[in-house]
Amino acid sequence: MMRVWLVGAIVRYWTILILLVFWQVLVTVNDYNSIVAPSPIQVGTAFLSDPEYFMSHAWYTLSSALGGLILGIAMGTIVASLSWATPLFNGLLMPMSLFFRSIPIVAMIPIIVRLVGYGSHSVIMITAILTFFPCYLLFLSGLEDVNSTRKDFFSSLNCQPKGFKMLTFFRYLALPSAMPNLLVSVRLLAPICILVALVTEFLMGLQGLGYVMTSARSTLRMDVSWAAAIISCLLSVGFFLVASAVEQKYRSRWSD
Amino acid sequence: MAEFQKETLGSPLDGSPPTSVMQPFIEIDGVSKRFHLSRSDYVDALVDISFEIYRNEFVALVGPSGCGKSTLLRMIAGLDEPSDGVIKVGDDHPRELIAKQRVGMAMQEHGLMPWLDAVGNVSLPFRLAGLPIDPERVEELLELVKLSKFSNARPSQLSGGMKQRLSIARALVLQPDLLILDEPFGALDAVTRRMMNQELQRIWSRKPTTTVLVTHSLEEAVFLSDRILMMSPNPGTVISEYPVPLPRPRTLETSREKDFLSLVESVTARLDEICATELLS
Amino acid sequence: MNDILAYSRWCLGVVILILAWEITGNRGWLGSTWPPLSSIFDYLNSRPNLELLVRNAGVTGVNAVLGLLFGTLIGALLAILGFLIPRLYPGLSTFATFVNALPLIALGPLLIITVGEGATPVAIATLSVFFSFFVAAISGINQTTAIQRDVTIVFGASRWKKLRFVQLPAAVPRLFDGLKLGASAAVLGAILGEWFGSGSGLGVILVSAMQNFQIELLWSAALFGTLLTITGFVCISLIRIAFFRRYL
Repeated sequence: MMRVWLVGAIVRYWTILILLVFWQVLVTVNDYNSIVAPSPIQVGTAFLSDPEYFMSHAWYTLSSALGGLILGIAMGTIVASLSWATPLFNGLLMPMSLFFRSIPIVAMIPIIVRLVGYGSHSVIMITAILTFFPCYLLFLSGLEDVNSTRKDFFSSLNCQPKGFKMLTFFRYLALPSAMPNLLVSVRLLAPICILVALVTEFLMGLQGLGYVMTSARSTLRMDVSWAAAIISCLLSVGFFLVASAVEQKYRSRWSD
Repeated sequence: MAEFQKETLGSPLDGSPPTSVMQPFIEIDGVSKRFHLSRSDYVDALVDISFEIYRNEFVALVGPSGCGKSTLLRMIAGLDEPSDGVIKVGDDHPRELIAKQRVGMAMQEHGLMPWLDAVGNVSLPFRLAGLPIDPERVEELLELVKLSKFSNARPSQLSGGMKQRLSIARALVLQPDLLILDEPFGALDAVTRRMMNQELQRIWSRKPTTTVLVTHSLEEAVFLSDRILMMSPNPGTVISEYPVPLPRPRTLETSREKDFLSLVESVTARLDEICATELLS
Repeated sequence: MNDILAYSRWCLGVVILILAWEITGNRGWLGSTWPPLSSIFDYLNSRPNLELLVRNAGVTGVNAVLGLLFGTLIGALLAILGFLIPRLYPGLSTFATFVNALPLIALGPLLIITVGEGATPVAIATLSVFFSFFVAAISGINQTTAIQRDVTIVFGASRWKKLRFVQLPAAVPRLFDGLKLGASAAVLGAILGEWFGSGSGLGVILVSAMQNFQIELLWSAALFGTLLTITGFVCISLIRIAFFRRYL
């Protein structure tokens, strides 16, 4: 029983294990001191010496990323619904969102930081702006990509995606059909919203794990910088796993 | 059994209607359908089709694939417009019947909503028609298709045959004046399909409704319908008509009787003939 | 007819976007950080400014291309490895998901030590390209239908032959999609990597222009970053067209 479990874990996680061993070997072989590259133990002690410091910054990052994600998704779904209902609006918004999709927008955060301004709400706002576009595009394609048999069935009962029955069509067909895409967008955006929050904090240098990473480096506390980086990674991976689990769980409710 | 094979080549209107159902309900007059492939290129899917369907008659459209029977069905249902000619349902444009929510429809793909359970799916037509949901009627329909035990199951939890029965319950729940069936059992295996045919026949005989069925299976067409219209492709048109004078209710025994089998045989022979000339031309 | 209508709406959208940018910038409605489009082009009209941007865009471009190359190679190798030795596949796919979920910026502190400041942009670009290409390759390889696979088994093809003659050709469209995603990921990765103490590149310009309030320079750098991505898209599309001409 134990062996089966172990083999299963190795089959699934062997790459991660190799990566950890590689890190340890690299530090040991090159005999780095802690200013150059801290060992896993030093990173651990840096965290344990002041866990509250790390946790408060982690909480700041997580809460602003989450807040931004929720805002972005709310805006994305609302604007996508309006777009679905008014083709003119859709035509006006589409070029903009395709443009945003094709540029490396996270690299443009310096501009957005300047636009939004430095403040306590900047991180939430920037996360919201950057999560808005992917969610808008995905949700809109879900609204428009309605199974043709279901659409015919609705037509046979005089329910079309236009005219006075539009709301009924939206409520009973388009909206539920788009739910799987909403779940997908949450999964895709979970790591992205953490990344955006970190990048913004990194650039603004006020608060959060992104800020800890740079400020610790400038004072040569590599162990603190690494601890913040690793907590960020755990946060992001954890959030992604939660979002994937939510998607897995609810997906079958909304699709064949 | 040549006495009931009344084949009318070229002019389908000659076929005498079954005596029980004399009132024309659907009138199809000179209907054509042209699909444009590009600006200059087109195909004539259907050319100059005329026939009538009587009130509470069950008509089956059969023919080789590509003869345009599904296109014709969609136009009768009011989901598509003919390029030429007129279709009238109850003296009105088919869309009027849709506007009154008097059309029921079941297709090869069940088209059930995966996010609703069986009760939700069967109640949906009430919501779409803006009518108050009648729980007793929904329950009655689930009973009729023998799915009462599964009223809270989602489509993904039902078998293929159950899903098709549910989709038929959904089509019937508003007591439509016109029932449109496009290969409703096309995705099912032969054994399940026979069972489904028997069920549908039982349900239909209890309350006859004007029904147009498109099917590939000639046994299914003979078993279910009052009249079979055979279509030929290139261009699509109705070329033969067969009344089906088998008494109702029909059972699985009916489908082994000599009358049934010989009718199936002569319809099959005609279809083979059409396919053969199609291949030679 | 409907196409024309949709297309004209689309064009109207583009025109309105540009006009709105110009007007809001001109009037200063969105503050001094939102310049009119024309002022950015004015800024680029001077030779030293243009040279500065072209030089740094070149650095970022090289970093991105290297990242795209390495990332694609690693992604392809691991995908093929996972296909030839199915036991390795679950671990590889966990790894790819893990890399995707990592915030690239958090890898900066780790990478500047392990690979050095100079190579960090390439390393981050490689990692971000790796994921998109690996996923595209895996899903591409699994594109073939069960029947196609069964047929090759019936003909007694080895795993390698199966990959070479059935799976790989079927995967080609997906691979190009993966490359396209990779192009954008590579530019992003290179710019993020340059924030960690690199001497030159668009990333350096973006940060310093942001800190020093050089608004025109900031927008110009963003414009060049976008141009880099678009160039990548166009190149990959051209390769794709050439490839399909040659082999199909």
